[in-house]
Amino acid sequence: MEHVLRVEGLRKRYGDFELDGISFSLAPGYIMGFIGANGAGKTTTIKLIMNLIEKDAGIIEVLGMDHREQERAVKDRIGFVYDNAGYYEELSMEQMKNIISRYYSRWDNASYHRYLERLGLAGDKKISDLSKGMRMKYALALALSHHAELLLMDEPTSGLDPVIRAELLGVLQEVIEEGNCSVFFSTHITSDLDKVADYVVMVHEGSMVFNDAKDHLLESYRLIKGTQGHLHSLEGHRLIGADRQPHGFSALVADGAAAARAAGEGLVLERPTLEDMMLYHVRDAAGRPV
Amino acid sequence: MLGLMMRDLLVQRKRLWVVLLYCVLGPILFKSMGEAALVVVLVAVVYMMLLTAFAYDDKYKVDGTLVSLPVKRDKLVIVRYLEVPILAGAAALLYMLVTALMSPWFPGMFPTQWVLPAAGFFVVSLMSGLYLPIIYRFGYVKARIFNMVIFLAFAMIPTFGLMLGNTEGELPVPDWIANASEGTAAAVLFAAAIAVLVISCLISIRLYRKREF
Repeated sequence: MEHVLRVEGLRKRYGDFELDGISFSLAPGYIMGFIGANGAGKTTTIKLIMNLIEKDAGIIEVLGMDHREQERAVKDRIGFVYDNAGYYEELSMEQMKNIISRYYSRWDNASYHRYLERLGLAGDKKISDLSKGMRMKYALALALSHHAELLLMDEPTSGLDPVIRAELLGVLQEVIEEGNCSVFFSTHITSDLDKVADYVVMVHEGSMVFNDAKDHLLESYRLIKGTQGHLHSLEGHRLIGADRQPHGFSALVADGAAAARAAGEGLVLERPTLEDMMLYHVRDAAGRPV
Repeated sequence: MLGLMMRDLLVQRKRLWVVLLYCVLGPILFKSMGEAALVVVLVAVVYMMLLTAFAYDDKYKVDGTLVSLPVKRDKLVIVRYLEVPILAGAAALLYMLVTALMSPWFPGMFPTQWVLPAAGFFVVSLMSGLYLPIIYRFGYVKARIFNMVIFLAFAMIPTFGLMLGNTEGELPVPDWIANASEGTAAAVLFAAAIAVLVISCLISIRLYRKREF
């Protein structure tokens, strides 16, 4: 199978917000990070993939199947983790699991208990007694207990402390190493993706900003700082989120090597983080300097 | 489907004592209605249990989770419609048991006519048939005001009916029902109730398929 997830020309309009032709694909066995500021369209995209909302246009294929025409077959092979997943808080973890598990053809109770143990969820607590971190771990255990081939996660580490975030990311890496699952993971906490992502897609105000291998992004993008002279030399180059001051400027560029050749000596180049890349692109779109 | 029904039972298990309370209080509070108090109790029990189920779904935002499972939205709707006759039947049986036990102190409350449970089922089906599509279209919270209007309207129907009927307190019913045998009347009411639920269910399925979460 070439792609576990293929999205092409995805559109959805909500009042004054529009998801405008999002396209990306995820090959088997990789982790794709989906980043963007709040309100960028991340959750909308995941809801469209899960058919919680109806798309206006575009193609969504999961594991080679159309996500609507073969909805049940698709969902049988997807695990999902939402930021605010809803569970009946009157029930225990076991009772809630019993409701959910009967709909998956490949539910594996042994895996479920193994993941609970791995994630440190002991006993059969009532869901209302679970902390936010525990709920997220529980959601992950449910998502991984039916041999899912694609794990869709919508801001799973949002609001969690670094210890629990590291624990969740560790489990994701183990899952990928086992080789049977791919992960699509939306977040605005880019430091999580620095650790685990193979590919990164950024969306801003409903539009795609970049879609590339993480390592390639970090190798080619550069934060540059220089003088007015350097700025003149860089005319014709796209400066992302440029902050122009009387004494100099700073900006993000997609091709650091080309910028260095054009600007000549004295231009300062720094390797950006994913957070820098997101920040500069957001500021660029807003027309404000960093 | 059984799992989803058990879900509602599990979630509301601490409220089941309220059903028993309705069955005990019903014969006492509606003593003047005689055997017909069964209809009031059925309506109250089904209305309460069904709306509470939706209230829990809304409170815990479970819809998004359930719709993300590999289960058709149609099934999620059908389960709730199946709960109408099941709840009505269970409430009727419980009511009959309670009134049988209370008969030394509250005589004349045990329903002896088959037409009464059928009438209760018909009223419950009509009410549910009206408010369930509204809930599936707008969600529990937005549908609350409609549900209250429907409930109050049904509560007022006996009063208006008696005003339209004769002075002996009989509801105005078509002659062919009034003259039919008890079995025929019960069968007609039962069939009408099923028809209402089926039509309403089909509407709700259509609405829920389009709903966005």
